[in-house]
Amino acid sequence: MRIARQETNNRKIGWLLLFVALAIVLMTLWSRESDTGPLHRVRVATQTVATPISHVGKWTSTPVRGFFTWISDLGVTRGQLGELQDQNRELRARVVALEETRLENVRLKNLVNSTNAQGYKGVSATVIGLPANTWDQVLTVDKGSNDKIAVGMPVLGSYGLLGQVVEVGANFSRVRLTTDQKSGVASLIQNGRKPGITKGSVAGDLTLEFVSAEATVTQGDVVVSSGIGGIYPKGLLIGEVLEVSKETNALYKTIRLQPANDVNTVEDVLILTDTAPATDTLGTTSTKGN
Amino acid sequence: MRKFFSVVGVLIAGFLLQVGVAPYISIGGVSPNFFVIIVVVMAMTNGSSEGVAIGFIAGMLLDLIGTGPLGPWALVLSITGYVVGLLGQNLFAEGWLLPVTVLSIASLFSELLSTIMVFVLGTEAPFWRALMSQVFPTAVYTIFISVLLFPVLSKVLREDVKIASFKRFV
Repeated sequence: MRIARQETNNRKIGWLLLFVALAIVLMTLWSRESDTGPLHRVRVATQTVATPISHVGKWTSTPVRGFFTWISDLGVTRGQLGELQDQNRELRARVVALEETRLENVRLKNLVNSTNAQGYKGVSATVIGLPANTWDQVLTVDKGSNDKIAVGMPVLGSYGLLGQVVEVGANFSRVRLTTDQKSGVASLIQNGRKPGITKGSVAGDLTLEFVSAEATVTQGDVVVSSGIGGIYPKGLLIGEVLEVSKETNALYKTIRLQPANDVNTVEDVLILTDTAPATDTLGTTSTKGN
Repeated sequence: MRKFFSVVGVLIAGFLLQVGVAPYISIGGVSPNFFVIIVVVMAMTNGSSEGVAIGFIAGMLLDLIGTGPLGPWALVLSITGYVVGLLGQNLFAEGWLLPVTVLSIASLFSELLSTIMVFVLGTEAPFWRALMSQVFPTAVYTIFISVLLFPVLSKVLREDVKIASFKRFV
């Protein structure tokens, strides 16, 4: 009886070892195969199945989410309301001033025949899926290879840079947000032109790294893409400085950013299709996201 | 055969919930992990051999809908399914407290192990920050959802044990 039980236990451990070995083999194969390998194609096929499900989930949950947003907005205090009204007045004045500057800018650009300098060509897409798990800051949009979308293309939200295309199916693409832990954008603090790298984190925060401890950075400073590396075009709004700190003897400042776009409210995006292909420092062309 | 179809049905339901529901009930970017709940409950009802196989398939599905490498979640949920399955199939007979406790520990264990896997595979992030901002909130949210789903799952998977209400919990 004891021998029989022992055999059963051995068989159970055998099953465990088999599946653990299978998982390790899968991880190894995944890291060794190219983007067009069979495992990557299985993922694209799974995403193709998942996309309409996610779309239905989004559509179904919209009224409920709207209700909860409305409830949370009820918590705005009278003080916050007054502050927002002041900000609104100030922003309206700034919009008028900026519009004047923009028109002047357009005229000047016409003079030097460079009107297309910022005129990115793009394909607009609708967000049909939010991140499916806690670890990935990835959105699904409704345009794919049928619309000539390719891996590596930058994606803009209504208020600035949102991320980069990392996976493409026939009718969908997945966009890794700048707030994802695997994202990194060569950046520039607009005021002072100090360079740095904007990185996401596991918590979905945005930080600007490698900015010299000597640099003057203040709350509210605007951070834009620097164009270095050739992946993201220069001058795309990434966010605003939220908090600046520096540890004793540190070479760099710790800068937390407020992302330009709120991922929970993004509905439409613009995928830039005419930017240069991603190149690394060696000058070789890559189709992988960074 | 009927058992096979119920397992496939529950895995499909898990996929639908993780893709179509979890993103839209996230709180502060934290979504529940429906696959952990499914693996734990099925391992409890079917034992460790089935638990490890179901864990592997559920983990594969979770890996496939993510953006990282294929395999980490398959490994984590295989081990979870095996360990929970070893605890025996009699947990359902003890009412609510024991299975929900096992589910809570398994959820924490899975999230923690997956975090370790993510770090082993090369993520550059503060480990403690990941624990506090992702692992514990996800585990707590998953436990909360599991308490809500438990009567349904127990009814589907273990017809011989009737758990009709929370009265047995107290």
